[in-house]
Amino acid sequence: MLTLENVSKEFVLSSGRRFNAVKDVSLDLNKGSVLGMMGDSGCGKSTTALIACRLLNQTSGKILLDNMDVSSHRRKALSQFRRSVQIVFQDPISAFDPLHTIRWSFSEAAAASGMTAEVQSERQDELCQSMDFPLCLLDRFPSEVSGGELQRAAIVRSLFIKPDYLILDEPTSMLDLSTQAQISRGILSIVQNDSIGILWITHDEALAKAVCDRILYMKDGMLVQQS
Amino acid sequence: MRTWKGICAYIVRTWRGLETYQKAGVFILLLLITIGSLAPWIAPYDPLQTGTPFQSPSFTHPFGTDNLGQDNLSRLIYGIMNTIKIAFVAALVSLAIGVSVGVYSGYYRGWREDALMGVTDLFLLIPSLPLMILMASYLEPSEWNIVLVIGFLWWCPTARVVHARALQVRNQGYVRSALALGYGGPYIIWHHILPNCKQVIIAKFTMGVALAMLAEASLSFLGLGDPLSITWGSMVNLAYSCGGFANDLWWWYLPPCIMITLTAAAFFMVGGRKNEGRRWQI
Amino acid sequence: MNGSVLSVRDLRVNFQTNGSKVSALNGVDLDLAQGESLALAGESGSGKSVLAFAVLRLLDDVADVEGKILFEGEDVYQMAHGRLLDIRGKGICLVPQSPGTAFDPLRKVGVQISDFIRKVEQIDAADARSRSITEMDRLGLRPVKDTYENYPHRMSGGMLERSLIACATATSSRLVIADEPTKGLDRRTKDIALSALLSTAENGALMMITHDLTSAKRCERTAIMYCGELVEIGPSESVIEDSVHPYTKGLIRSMPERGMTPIPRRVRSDPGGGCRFYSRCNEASEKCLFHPDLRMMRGREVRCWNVDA
Repeated sequence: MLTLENVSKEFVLSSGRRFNAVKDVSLDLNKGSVLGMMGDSGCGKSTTALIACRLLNQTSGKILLDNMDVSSHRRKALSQFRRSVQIVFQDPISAFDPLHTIRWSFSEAAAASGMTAEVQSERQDELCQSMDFPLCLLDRFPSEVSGGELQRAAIVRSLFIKPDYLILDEPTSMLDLSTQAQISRGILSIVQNDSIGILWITHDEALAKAVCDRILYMKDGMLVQQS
Repeated sequence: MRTWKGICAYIVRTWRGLETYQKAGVFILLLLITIGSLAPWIAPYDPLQTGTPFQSPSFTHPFGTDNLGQDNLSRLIYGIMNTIKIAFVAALVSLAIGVSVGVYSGYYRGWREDALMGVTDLFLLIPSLPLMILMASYLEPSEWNIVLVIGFLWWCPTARVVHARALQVRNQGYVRSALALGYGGPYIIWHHILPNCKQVIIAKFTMGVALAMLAEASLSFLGLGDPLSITWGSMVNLAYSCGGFANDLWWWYLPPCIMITLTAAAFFMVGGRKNEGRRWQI
Repeated sequence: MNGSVLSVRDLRVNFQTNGSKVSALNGVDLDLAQGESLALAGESGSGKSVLAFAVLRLLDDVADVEGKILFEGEDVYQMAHGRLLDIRGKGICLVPQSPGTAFDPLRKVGVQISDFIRKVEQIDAADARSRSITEMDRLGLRPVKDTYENYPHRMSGGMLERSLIACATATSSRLVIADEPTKGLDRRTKDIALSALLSTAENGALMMITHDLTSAKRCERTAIMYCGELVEIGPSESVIEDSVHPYTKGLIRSMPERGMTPIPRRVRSDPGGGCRFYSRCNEASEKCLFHPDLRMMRGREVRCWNVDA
């Protein structure tokens, strides 16, 4: 279980004003379930996501992984924690280094967990199949691949090292309907197989209702309701 | 074998990606370097061999001779490698400092950024030519002084540009993904930030070489270079101090000036920003 | 007056890439009458944005464009350059995709909007300023005084998108072409943006490119595009609620609230001579090996052999 406990984040703007992006947010993310998070733009969803995978330090509050406090982990321990919580962003184009092929990016992910080449190619085939990512695109550069395919690849990469939790920050909002449906189905099938806990951020109510077990609503940095 | 193939393929790919004027620049530089490195065989005379001074251009001495009767053409040819070498090393030193400062402060941010960028701003304020003259005249005349002076004064613009680019790159999704995979700063800098700053680094480097050449020429012209090393700047200096200008012996001072301009222009051309046409994705 | 604002006749656009020819638009016919709003929907890569660029003649140096584009009776591809520049902005206003790159990063967003209004409407700076402030307020960019003074990097994608829309809605362009104006907006702001855009259709016409069929429904007509061809075009209500083309039906089924069943397989880069949707269609028959034409049936035009009147 990944838990956020009374997490707040305060930004200091360049004008010197303080801005509370996230106020006192607590949530539990269970393995094998999909938790939705909805809200208007600028309500702090993305900030919460970055805090949950510890890419951004919270101002106050705690992050617990299986009831162990990880909010003050540094260096090695932090890397360890980050590997168990992966994140996929909205924009697929910036998710891949333009100078490397998709295959290279996959190997980068594999190397992070010290996989052998055999395990890596096995995992690659398996994930590409479940996300329906065509293997013939592996040796292409990101600029030569369409946004929809890149987003599939981004999800494949995030699942490469078998994380326990996956945070999806509006993964399909830049894609068309059919691709959105294909990708969402792919993710759901993986959740069921690998029992990964997913935090799915979106502002499409219909989509949230279709994919999530539970939905949290956020407004002005606070959680306002659950369903 | 395989790596050779890879390198050749890389060179061919890079060459194809160049603009016409960049190709022209590379061509000029390769030509100059070939001539320069074959100087002992190509040059008609030993550059230090003396003879009749102040000769006008003739078939035996196409650019005449100088005040000691040394052949100007031979000195010009021997000067190629000296000039380029000094400029190259000077640019390399300033590049190394500038890129390190820029990437480090751009990636780590926080107080390190404030401190390093503050120092950079301070260095930017130093009027470089007067200081160069001061340092070069204080230190013993040697070609490496010029390297030192240029290298330690001119890293700041590079640092600024690289810093700005690094700031841009570090916010990209792939850097965050690498962080999420548990990679640390050194890995990310080496594999993502530096390669993605490549364009600005190359541009800054070639411009740095060109500017260093000009600076070397100015310092040598002021008599602050090594009098024994043959560079184009020192040739112009010699022509000036020995009455070449006053007597209008253009064949003496004009060729080195043209060479300096040409070579610097060639470096500028190579480093010129590649005009990336909008790519259409259908 | 209920004349034609835009009419596109047999538009073909081919891109030359590395010696090979890629067809982006393959014979598109389209009419937009005064006061009409049209939604253009379809998957990515179906040629919707190319159509928008072609109408403004922005593809001259990258693609071969054939066919006729008449803007209020004038052929866009025959007119003098000066006249063309006049029409861009004043006649046809494009709201481009990717608002992040559409604004100059060094100037305030509000000032850029005012400048645009000033150029198009030929009014003085104070008028332009007050007009852009009203428009930004209408689009919910509040507090307006602050957003007007903001630089692009200080604004979110959704705010920039709405600022772009403000450029189009504050001027009285005859035709507004909006390329995915609701992408990345949340429900509330999407609503505001849509209403503002639709109001421009009152004294001109609106062409809205979108992935989002719910937004498309608010336009009078909807055209569905696949692989550079229109496959179904007619009143939005009938195209979306009672679609007949297998591709449109597939799109509807892939909406999350309608079962989220994706269309199988991918768009083929080489669609062949027959129906372009053949390889993905679940209703295909041997007739589909021949290329179908648009036919009028059940109140809309459809490009499919297997639909009966």
